[in-house]
Amino acid sequence: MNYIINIRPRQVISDFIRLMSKGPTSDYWYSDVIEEIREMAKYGRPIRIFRRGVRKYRILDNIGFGINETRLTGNEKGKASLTSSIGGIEVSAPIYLADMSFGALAGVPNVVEAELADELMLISGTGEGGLHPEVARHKRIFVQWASARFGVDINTLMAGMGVVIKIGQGAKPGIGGHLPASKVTQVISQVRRIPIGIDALSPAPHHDIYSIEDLKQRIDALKEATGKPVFVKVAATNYIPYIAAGIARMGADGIIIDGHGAGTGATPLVVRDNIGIPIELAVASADKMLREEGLRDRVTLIAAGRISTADDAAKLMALGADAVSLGTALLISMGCDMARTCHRGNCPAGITSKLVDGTIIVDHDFAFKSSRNFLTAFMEELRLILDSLGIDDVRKLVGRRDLLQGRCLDEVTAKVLGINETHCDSINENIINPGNVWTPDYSIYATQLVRTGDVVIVSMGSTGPPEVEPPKRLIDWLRFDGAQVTKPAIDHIERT
Amino acid sequence: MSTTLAEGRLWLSMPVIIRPPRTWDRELIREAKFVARANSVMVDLEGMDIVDNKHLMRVMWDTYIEKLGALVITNPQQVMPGVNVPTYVRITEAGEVSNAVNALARKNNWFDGVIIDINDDYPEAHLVRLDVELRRRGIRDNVDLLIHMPNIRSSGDIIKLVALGADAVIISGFVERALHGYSGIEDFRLRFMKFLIGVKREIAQLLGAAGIYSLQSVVGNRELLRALSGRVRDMLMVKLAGEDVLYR
Repeated sequence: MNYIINIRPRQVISDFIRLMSKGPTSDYWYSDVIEEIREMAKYGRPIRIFRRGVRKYRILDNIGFGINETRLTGNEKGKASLTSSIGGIEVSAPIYLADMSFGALAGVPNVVEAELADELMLISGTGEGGLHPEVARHKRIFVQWASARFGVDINTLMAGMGVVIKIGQGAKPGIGGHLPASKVTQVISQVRRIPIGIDALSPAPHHDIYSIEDLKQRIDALKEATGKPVFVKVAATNYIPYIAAGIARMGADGIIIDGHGAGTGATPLVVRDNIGIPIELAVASADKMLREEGLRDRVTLIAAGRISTADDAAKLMALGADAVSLGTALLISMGCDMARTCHRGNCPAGITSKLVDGTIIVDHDFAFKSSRNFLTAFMEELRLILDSLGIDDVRKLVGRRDLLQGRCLDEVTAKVLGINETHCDSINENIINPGNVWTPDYSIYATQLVRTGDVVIVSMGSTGPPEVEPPKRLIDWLRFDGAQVTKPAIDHIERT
Repeated sequence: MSTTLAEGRLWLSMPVIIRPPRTWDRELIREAKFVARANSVMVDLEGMDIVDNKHLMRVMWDTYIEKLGALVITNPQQVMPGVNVPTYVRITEAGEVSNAVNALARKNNWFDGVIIDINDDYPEAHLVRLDVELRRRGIRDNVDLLIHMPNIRSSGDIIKLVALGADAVIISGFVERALHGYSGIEDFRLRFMKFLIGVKREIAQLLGAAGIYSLQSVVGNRELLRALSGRVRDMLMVKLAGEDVLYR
C-alpha cells in the first residue's frame, strides 16, 4: 500500500498505544470500553452480549432485553441473518461506517474505512472534506454534500453509491463543520480548494436550503443528477420527529440521526455539551412519528452517536432504527486512544494527525486488520444477540419495543421510548450529586477561554452531564435547542 | 444578545453580571469595575468595598450613593421612595419567594426585580416558579429576575438559566476559576477582557446554533429547553427530549 498523501511520516504506528486510565464518569469511551474494542480488534472474536449498562444516567444503559449478561468463549457462531438494506442497497450487516472527512482524519483511516465497506459489504460515508483520491476508487461509499461544498462536483457525486446531504451533526447541532487552521495543510488545501492555514468553517445552513421545499428541490436535483439514493443527515435536536417526517416526505431515501455525544474533529465545547438530545430518545420519537404519518417504509433510519457495542446497536434497532453508524468505535479499533487532541492535529495514534512532514501516521495494514476484526466480532455479537432473542433476521428486530425493559425509567421517558415494562429495585435515585463542578475538562475550558478570548474548541464526543459526568445541578439535565435549517442569526465571528 | 434591565434604565451587552470573589483586593476590584464598564456589563459589589467613585453606573451596591448603577437591598421594605435608581431585592431563603412576588405585584412598594441567591439544591426551580408566577399575574415584563449560582461554569449554563426565566445571570465561581493564575495587574485586566469577550462570543454561538435572533425571545422560553429526566421535567416545567408537543 502506498500512501497517497505525499509526506514522510516521522513515525508509523502499527500497534495500539498505551492507554490512559479513565473511569465511566470521566469519559463515555472510558478505559474498559476501549480495551474491549481493542480485544475484539486483536482477535476478531465476540466477547460478551447483553452487557449491563454502567452509566447510571444514560437512558440507553438503563434499557435492556431482560436477559442477563452472557460471557462468550469467542468460538460461538450465530445463525441469524444480518443482511439488511440501506437505501435499497444490500448490506451484509445493518452497519454504516460514519461520515468522517479527509482532513479531520489523516487519510489512511479514510482509505481503511472505504476498504472495509467494500470488503465487508457495508456502506461508508466520506465526510465533508472533498474526496480522497484513494477513497474515490472504492465503490461502497456515500459521498457527502455538506454546507461548504468542499471539492464537490459531479465527479465526486458520482463516485459512490449514494449521496448524503449533511444538514447537521450530533457534536455541534446548529452550526457547520470546522477544520481548525492548523490542520488545513497543503494537501487538504488542494482537496478542499481552500487557502492553507485558515480555519475551514462550513456555514451553519446550506445557503440553498432554508426551507422544506428547498430540501425537496435539492433531493430531487441530486437524484436526477446521480440516479443514486439520497440520504439526509441531521443532528438529534428538540424537534427531531417533525424534521424526520419532513425529510421522509420530501423524498429522501434515508435519514441519519446523529445523537448527542457523537464524535467530531472539532467543536465548541459549549455547543457540544449543551445542545442536542440522546439518540435513544431521538430514534424512538422519530420512528414513532414516521409510523404515524405512514412514512416509515419510505426511509432507512440510521442511528448515529455513541454506539459502542452490539448491545447499543440492538437496543437502538429495537427502538426503531434500521441500521447504526459506527464512527468513534471504528477509530478506536484502528488505534485511537481517546486523547481528544483531534482539533490540534497531534494525535498520538496517528489517526487525526495534521498532514505535514514528519507527522505520526497509523499503519495502513494494522488499521485495516484491526478494524476488520472489530467489525467481524461486532457482527458476531449482534448475531448472537438475535439468536438469544429468537429472531432469525435482523430486519425483524427493527421497532420491537416490546422486547425491551427499562430499569428505573420514569413514566414520561418510558412513554417517549414506547417501553411498557419497567423494573426498579432502588427508588428515589438522586438527581443531583455532591461534588466540584470544576472537572478537568471544564478547568481547561475556563483557562482556554481566558487565554484566547474566543469560543473554546475541543474534539470528540461530549463528556458532559448527565450521561457521563454525574449531574450536580438541575441545569445539568437540560439541553438547549439547536436549529437544523436556519439562517445563522448571530454570527459569532462577524458580530461580537 | 444585549439586554435591558429596569425597564430600559440599564443596558447590558450580554445577560451577565460579575460578582467578584471575596478574595479579590481593592486593586482587582478597581479593575473589575473598569472591565465591567468597558464591556457594558454590571459588577455586583454588594457587601464589598467599592474602592472609588469611578464607573459607578456599572456597579450594583447595597448603599445608595450618587450615580450608582443599581441598588441591592435585602428586604422590600427598604425601598427608598424618591431615589431613582434601579433597585433589586436579594432573596436568600426559599420562604421569601412568595413575599417577593406579592411585593412586586404591589405598585406602591415599587422596585425593579429580585436576585435569587438561594443556596439550596435546586435554585433553578425557584427561578422557574417565580417566572411562572409573575407571568400569571401579568407583571413579568415590568420586573427583572436575576439569579446567582456560584457553581455556574460555562456560557452554556448562563444561556440555560436565561431560558429558564432569568433576565441576567450573576457569575462568581466561573470568574474566579477563569482568572486565577494571572501574573500582574496588566495581565489580570487583559484576561478579564478576554474572558468576557469569550463568554459573549460563546453566547452568540449558542443563540446562533438555535437560530435565535434576539435574547429577548430566550428569556423564560422553556420551550427551547428539553429535560433528560421525567423528574427534572416536572420540577422545571420543561418538556422531555423527544416528547411530542401535543402529547399523544
